[in-house]
Amino acid sequence: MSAPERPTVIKALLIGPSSSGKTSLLKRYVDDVFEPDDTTTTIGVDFREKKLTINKKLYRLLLHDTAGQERFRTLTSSYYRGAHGILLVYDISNRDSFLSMPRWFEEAERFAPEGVIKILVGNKTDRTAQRAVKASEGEELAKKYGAIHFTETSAKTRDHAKEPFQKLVDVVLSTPGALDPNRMVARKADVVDVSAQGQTPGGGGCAC
Amino acid sequence: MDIEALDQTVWDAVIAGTGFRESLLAAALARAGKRILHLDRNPYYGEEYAALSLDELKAWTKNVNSSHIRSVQYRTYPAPEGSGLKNSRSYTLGLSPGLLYTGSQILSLLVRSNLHESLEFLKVGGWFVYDASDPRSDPLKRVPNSREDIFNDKTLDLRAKRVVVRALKSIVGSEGTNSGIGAVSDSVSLQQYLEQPTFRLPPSIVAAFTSLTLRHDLPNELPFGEAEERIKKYFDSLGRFGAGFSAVIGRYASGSELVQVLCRAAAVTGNAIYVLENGIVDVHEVDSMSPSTRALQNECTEQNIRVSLKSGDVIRTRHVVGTPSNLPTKAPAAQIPSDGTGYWMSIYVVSSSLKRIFQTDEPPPAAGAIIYVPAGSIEVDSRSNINPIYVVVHSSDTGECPDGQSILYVSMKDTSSDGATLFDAAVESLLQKVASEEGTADSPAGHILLSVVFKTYAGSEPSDQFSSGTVHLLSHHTPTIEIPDSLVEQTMEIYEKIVGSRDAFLEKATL
Repeated sequence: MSAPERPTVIKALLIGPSSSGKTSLLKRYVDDVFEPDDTTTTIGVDFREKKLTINKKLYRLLLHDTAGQERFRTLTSSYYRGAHGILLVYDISNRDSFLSMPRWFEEAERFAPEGVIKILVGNKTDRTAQRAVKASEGEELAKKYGAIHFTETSAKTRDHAKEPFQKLVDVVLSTPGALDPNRMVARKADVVDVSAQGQTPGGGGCAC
Repeated sequence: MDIEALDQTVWDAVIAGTGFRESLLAAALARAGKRILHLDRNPYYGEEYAALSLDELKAWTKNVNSSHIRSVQYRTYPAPEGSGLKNSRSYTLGLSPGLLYTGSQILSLLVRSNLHESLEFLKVGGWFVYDASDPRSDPLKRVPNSREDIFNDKTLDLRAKRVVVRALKSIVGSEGTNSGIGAVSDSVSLQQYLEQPTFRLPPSIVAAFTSLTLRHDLPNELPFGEAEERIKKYFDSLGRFGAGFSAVIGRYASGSELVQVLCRAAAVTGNAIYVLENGIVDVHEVDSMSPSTRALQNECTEQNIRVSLKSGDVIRTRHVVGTPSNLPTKAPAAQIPSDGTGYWMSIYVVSSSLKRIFQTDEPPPAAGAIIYVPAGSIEVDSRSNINPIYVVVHSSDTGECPDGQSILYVSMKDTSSDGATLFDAAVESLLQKVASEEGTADSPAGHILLSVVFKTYAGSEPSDQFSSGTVHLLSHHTPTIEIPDSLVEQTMEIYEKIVGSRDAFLEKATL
């Protein structure tokens, strides 16, 4: 029914504790940059977009960041709507960061659509000396909470930094039903385009 | 370390509560570069606009922490195997879902500020008057919204049709003429206007006109001027985004989703911090100085308010905003009027998709419908509804309930202490008469699965805000079927006091 040339949208979210490097990972993936002094908790835009062509098919990967609302664990439930995939990111050099992950898995379970693809990411592998979480622990946690993939990354050194995003897209595309547009997002035909211009106000009105 | 950070800065505003006005203000101020601390004492967003799962709703009914909400009941009903309630999470039930007219200021504000892209709007298609007086005819009479509809109406004779069109013309005034009717005095009610000798319209038509006002008052108590404005708004909105409908609802309980989108928009700027399960317990305004020193202070240095939070933090801010229930102020608390007048509100989950009422002449199908039940239509134990009942129906396309079920948001203005019995009867007769026709197909006639009924007295207070210059008090939330544009005005008033002008309200921040 929809126009065939319209790219398929994949919505992905990043969640996890403050300062785990979610935004850095996002920037590394989308812009291939790393800003060491940029410690702000937000990126100032609602989402970043990456266009992908896979098997000659066009996709728009929309990546939503937490906008600092992870800080006091006050993400809105609407943030999770329609997500196809979630990257759960912790900092391997911060034990508390890792220990908070079960709560993030539980929150995702509560608010995200059923069957959402989850990927666990241990970030900041460049901090070898400060490592506080073993890779095997991450592996185990991923298994325990049904994350489909686990990887350790460094947004700073690029180490595996693209892998979780690519994996997310791969799994979403290869899992039957994972992209089902009816699953969470309303069928586009049902949605009223409220930004439509050119309609005459009261055009369907009565006393004309 | 995070909690400590709250007192490391002087906030431009601390906003207590995440209702619609508070969230709109937070988003607008944050986009204007103001530093905002936005709090809610509940573990979820929205306050009276919250959308809750079954478990959350049950918890809410047991612990309503608003003084103006009373007589809360949560009931589940036995259902045949397989047709009962699904798991808690499959429901997103709104405490005030709220529709938006397509011509509303709120909607155009959302579009201008690009926030509509985070929301999905669905059509409110059917607008019905419930009339079961003739058992042989369909009890749901569609409210005509075009001249064509009126002329196709088989219940009206030709004279009546002409008069209805004339009455409509005189109210909507689309051609600038008033069809010979002079100025209407303020004391005239909608009913008096429609029954005047020039029109002499039958009760069914009076009910149809009244249903378009979305007011809970009787047609003979509804001032004509107000009704006229409401009806105009309906017709002005008709056809803006497609034929045959005038209003939309946002998916996932409309107002609730809107509030969350506004809060995220505020957070995305990097200027607003969100803390739930926290609130203001004390406000210490800096007012110990003489007026002259104060004036001097205003010019030279910043004057801050110290605010104590429930968490124990003491923070500094330039402005404080909230409703009386979220601020420790001397403002009048919600008062329960002596005659007991309040609004009975409710949420019903029923085991029928009620498909028929969402049918529309043109695609897309509707996800919302309005049923107006005139006074006296529902009778239980020789007591009937003395005021009209509005039933706002949401289909499962809204994402608020599983397929095969629908949500009925039922409301009524009343003095009685028992609204639930009348509501149950109203919903049951709707189900019997509407769903039974569908029942012959694959699904049986629907039944009630869950009801949450409560009475709110919030509409009974003065609606104006009283502010002290730095502490800005919002009036209590008033239950309405539409999210009214007046809320934008109230928000802008405070915005102007904080920012100094209303220019670029909510417009995209320059980063």
